Formats: sequence, C-alpha cells, structure tokens
Amino acid sequence: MGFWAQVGAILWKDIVVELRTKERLSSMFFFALLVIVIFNFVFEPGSEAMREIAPGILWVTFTFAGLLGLTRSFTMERENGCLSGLLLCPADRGAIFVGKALGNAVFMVVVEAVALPFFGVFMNVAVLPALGRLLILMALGTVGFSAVGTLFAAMSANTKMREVMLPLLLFPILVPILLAAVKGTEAVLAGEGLGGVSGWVKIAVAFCALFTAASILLFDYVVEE
Amino acid sequence: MREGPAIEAVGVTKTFGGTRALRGVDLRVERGDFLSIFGPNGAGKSTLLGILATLVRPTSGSVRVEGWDVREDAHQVRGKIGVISHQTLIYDDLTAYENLCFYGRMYGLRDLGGRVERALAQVGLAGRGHDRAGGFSRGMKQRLSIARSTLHAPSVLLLDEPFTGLDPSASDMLSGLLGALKGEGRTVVMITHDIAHGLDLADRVALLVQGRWVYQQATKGLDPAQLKAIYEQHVQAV
Amino acid sequence: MSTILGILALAGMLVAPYFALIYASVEKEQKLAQKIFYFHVPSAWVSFLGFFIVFVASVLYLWKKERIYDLWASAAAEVGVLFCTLVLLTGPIWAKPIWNAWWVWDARLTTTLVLWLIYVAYLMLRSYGGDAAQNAKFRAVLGIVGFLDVPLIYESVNIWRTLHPPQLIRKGGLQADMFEALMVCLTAFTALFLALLFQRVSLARAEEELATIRADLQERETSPTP
Repeated sequence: MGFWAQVGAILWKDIVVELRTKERLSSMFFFALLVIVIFNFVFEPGSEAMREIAPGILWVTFTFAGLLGLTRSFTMERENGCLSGLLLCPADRGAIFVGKALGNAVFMVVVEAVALPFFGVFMNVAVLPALGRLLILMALGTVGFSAVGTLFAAMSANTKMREVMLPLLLFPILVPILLAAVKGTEAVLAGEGLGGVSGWVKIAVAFCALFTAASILLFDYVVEE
Repeated sequence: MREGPAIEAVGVTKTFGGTRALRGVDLRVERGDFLSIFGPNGAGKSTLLGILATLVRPTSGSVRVEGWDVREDAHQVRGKIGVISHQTLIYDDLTAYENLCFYGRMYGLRDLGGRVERALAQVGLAGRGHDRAGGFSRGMKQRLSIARSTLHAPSVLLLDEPFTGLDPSASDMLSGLLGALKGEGRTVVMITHDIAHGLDLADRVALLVQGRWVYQQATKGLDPAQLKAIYEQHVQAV
Repeated sequence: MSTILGILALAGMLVAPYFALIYASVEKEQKLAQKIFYFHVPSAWVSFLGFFIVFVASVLYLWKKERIYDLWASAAAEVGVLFCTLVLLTGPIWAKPIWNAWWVWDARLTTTLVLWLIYVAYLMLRSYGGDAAQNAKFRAVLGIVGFLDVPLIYESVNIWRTLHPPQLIRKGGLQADMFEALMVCLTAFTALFLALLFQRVSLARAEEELATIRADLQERETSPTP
C-alpha cells in the first residue's frame, strides 16, 4: 500500500499547490481559449471547411494546453531542488511517475471540461448528443498524452534547451493517439457510435497501455543521476 | 541495527564526462561522530555527499551507509539518512505543516499530525505551522528544512553548506539545533565554509582538494586560526 | 571489419545501378520513373534497420551502462536519418511524374516521415543536450520509446488512409528479373549502410579516446604531485 499512498501524496501536493496559485490551470485554459478563437479568424465561421477541421482544432487546443501543463509540472520541482527531495524519499520511482502523470492528466481533464462548451459555442458544433462517446475519447487521449508527456517533460526539464525540446520530442511520438483522437472525434460528432470507431479506440487503448508501462519503467533512468 | 561504522566508503571515484570530480576517496565515519568537510569550490565535496545520499552514482568504489550498500540497497539507505542542502527542498506554496505532512507520507510515517507538531516545535516554528513556507525568512526556511530532514528520525545526517546565507543569529540557532541533533547520537557529515561553526561542532575535520583528501584530523586541540592556516597552505599549493 | 565492408559496399554500389537500370525490365505503366523503386525501397529498409539498431543499443545502454552502446546508438541514428532522408527525397521524385503530386500521404511514406521526425529529434537532443551521461540516458529512452511506437504509427496511419480511397493502386507481384534487381540493390544498400555505420562508430570511439587523453593531460598539468 506504500506505493499508492505515495502516489496519492504527490497527487495531493500538486493539486493543493495548484489550488493556491492557479498558475497552471489559468494559463492552460486561457491558452485553449486563444487557440479556438484564432482558428475562428483563420477560417470562415460556419463554413464547410470549419466543420471539417473542428475536431482537429479541438485536439490542437487540448494538446497545446496540455503541453503548458506538462512543462510546469517539472519546473515546479526544479525550484528549491524539490525533485531531489522526492528522490531522497524511500519511494519507488514508479510511484513518483504515476503521481506526476495523474496530476497532469487531472489538470488536462479540468481544462478540457471547461474548454469543451466554449468549443461547442464558438464552432457551432453539437457536442451534447455525442457527449458520452466524446468523454471516452478525451479520457483515452489525455491518458496517452500524460503517460508519454510526463516522461518526456522530466527529460526536457534537464536539457539545456529546457521546455523548447518538449514539443519537438513529444509530437511525433503522439501521432497514433492524436490520429485516433481526432478521427474518432470526427466520427462521433457525425453520429457514429463507439462500435463504428472501434479501430481508433483499439489504437488509443494500445497506445495508453504500452506507454504507461514503458514510461513507468523508463522514468527511473530519466531521473537518476 | 547493523554492525560497523555509520559510513564506510572505499576507493570512490566519480567522473562526469571529461571531468574527474572524485579520484579515489576513502571515508570512515563512526556512529555518533560529527565530521566537517572543508575545501575550495569544485573540490568534489557536494559530489561526495551526493553519493552518500544515493543521489549520485559513483563511477567506482564501494559505499556503505549504516551497513547498506548505496547502489544495491538504496531504498534502505534512504530511510536512514536525512539531507539538508543549500536548497531548501521545500514547496513554497504549501504551508510548513503541509510540507512536513507531505514528506511524512512519502516516508510512510504514522501518527503524522503529532509528529509534525513536535518537529515544528523542536525547530522553533510551532506558531508558524500554518503559514505559507515561501514567506519565511532564510533562517526559518533552513529550520523547516531541518524539520523535514529529521522527521523520519534518520540516524545519519548529511548537510551541504547549511550556514550559507544565514545571518549571525540564525547561524547560532542552527548551530544550537545541530548540537542538539549530535547530542541525540546521530552521525553527521557536514560540508561547510564556515570554519568557526564547522570546528565547534565537529569531532573530526577533513579537507578535500581536487577530488582527494589532503588533510584529516580530530578537532581536539585545533583552533579556527590554525585550521584556516592549514586550509590556505593546502589550497595555495595547487 | 570496416575495410571489408567498405570494399563490399563499393562493389555493391557499382553493380546496383546496372541491375536497377539495365538488367531489370522497364515497367509497363510507370516506365522509367519506376526505376527509382530500386533505390527508394532499399533506403527504407536500411533506415528501418538503423532505427532497430538504435533500439537494441539503447536497451543495452540502459541495462549495462557502458558508453560503447551509446556510441552505437548515436551512430545508427545518424546513418538511419541519412537513409530516411533519401527515402523522403526519392518519394516525391517518384510521385511527381506518376501522380502529378510532389507528396502522397500514403501509409508507408507518412510513417517514414514521422520516423524521420522522431530520429531528427534524437539527433537534436544530442546536439543541444551535450554528451553528458545523463543526456545519453535520455537519448536511450527516446530511442526505445520511438521504436516501440513504430507499429502503432504504421497502423494508425494505415487506418487513416484507408478511409480515403487510395489514389494509386499498387500492382501486386514483381517479375522475376525485377525481384532479382531489387535483391541486389537491397544487398548493396545494406553493405553501404553497415560500412558507414562501422566507420561512424570508429570515429566516435576515436573522439572518446581523444577526450580521455585530453582530460588526463589536463589533470597531469594541474596536480604536481602524483
């Protein structure tokens, strides 16, 4: 039970710090809003082109907001040397990873939940009928993103280029989960049931499973000196 | 409790890329002893401490803390050591109380509430438990750091320049706290540039220059002026 | 070893063009443009081999922690990216005359593009992160994660492209002489790849030795007493 107690402690800490400062959530949410608005300027609102790319815009919004949250996740540990503090505890490195990744996932979900209605309104997309299926896709996409993202964020926080490296490293790896999420969202918004997008769901699940396991194992090597 | 010295290191080397930080260091610290390590910047002191703290892997050599190997049994070692560095390892946005509770949970401690209260009282922060740690003065942060590092009652304390940035009254308070910890029978290894305090608290002193010991001595009969002269002599020689 | 490979590679690359251009018959529909196939496909195969070597070397590095594995991984990534770039260059050269488009988003080409992005990021990590041991661990992690991702990338891009009717229909089956030509080119490219790889590793080891000698010299200068 030590493992989950430690995961819980880290998750609790990240949430309390965020509730105090609201740094991550506010910047993530505001950024998400900006992306949605800018895309509305680029394409003619209400046009056919807009409807086609709407799912893409939704996920671009989520990924860029998520990226902000990821970098913050480890810069906060760099202040005052807190990452060393975590490594000094007799804690499984896997617990540190899971705690951090869960924290990232939670923040992303919160931002997604708030951004979704804005997306529906600005892009004039009927989100409610497909809500349940959308939430499942969002959950899968968020978990996959967090799993690899947390691992890579820990890495990029330690390179000379810091946060700039993160999108360069992360985005190519995320191609399968992004494709699955965007195409799945497109189909679901058009009225498809989950059965119709089973191919995408399978890829998303495989991605999440594979990279959660791999990241837990590899995190050890990333943080030790 | 395992037999033997609190810390035993043999032939420790550490190379970072092209730089040799430590070039064959032996160390033996008996239980309850207080060792002060001096040396110029870049001598490898922090690296040595990092190895003892299981944060840095030695390139070669064997290191045992409380009988446990720092590489094979790092988990065991971590439960027995408390580390204070010049960084506070404190979350500025949490209160003092929350910081200690967090670390307490990470160490798997029971009766957390009581333990944290006692720890805060011991370092003189009893009334400030529910204040945001970021608002503390440097001296108070250092005291909170001590509370953090001793919460799990470690038998070995590793300190990396704890007196840095403290004013005289905070320094004296820290000295008092360290003296009390030593009185409780804990083994302490402290890196410091503060010759007066370093000598005052220690049973033995050692001088590390360019990754090697150049001087080791019991403190009995040594005064600060003498130590300073010895220090200058060895550092000048390079 | 390097010399043998070098000679094989040289022989192979002299012989390959003959097989590709003259020995193999001209394809009916695509005519001469199809001939680039004999360089495009072996390049793809060889770059994939390179990334597989990065994966294996990365796993070995994390496991054994010996610098030599990191040198192999970095070398394989470099040569792999080189051939991957060739695939991405020959693709459009082939596509333009046939389908009148510089780029086609077909499953294989797209997967190659994503792989190229991953391994270029690997090389950037090396440039901007320095050569420290910790950075080597990061690269190893990237090398492992990147390769594990390959089947998922291919599968997801495949599903994506089958949603849209393919613009081209690949003819199944190759004539005997075409197949032979392909095999010759494949062998030649593999020999070239291995020759370059071994050379690159030798170079890296020489660089390492030089750095160690420099460090030794510096140390001798600064500490008068042994």
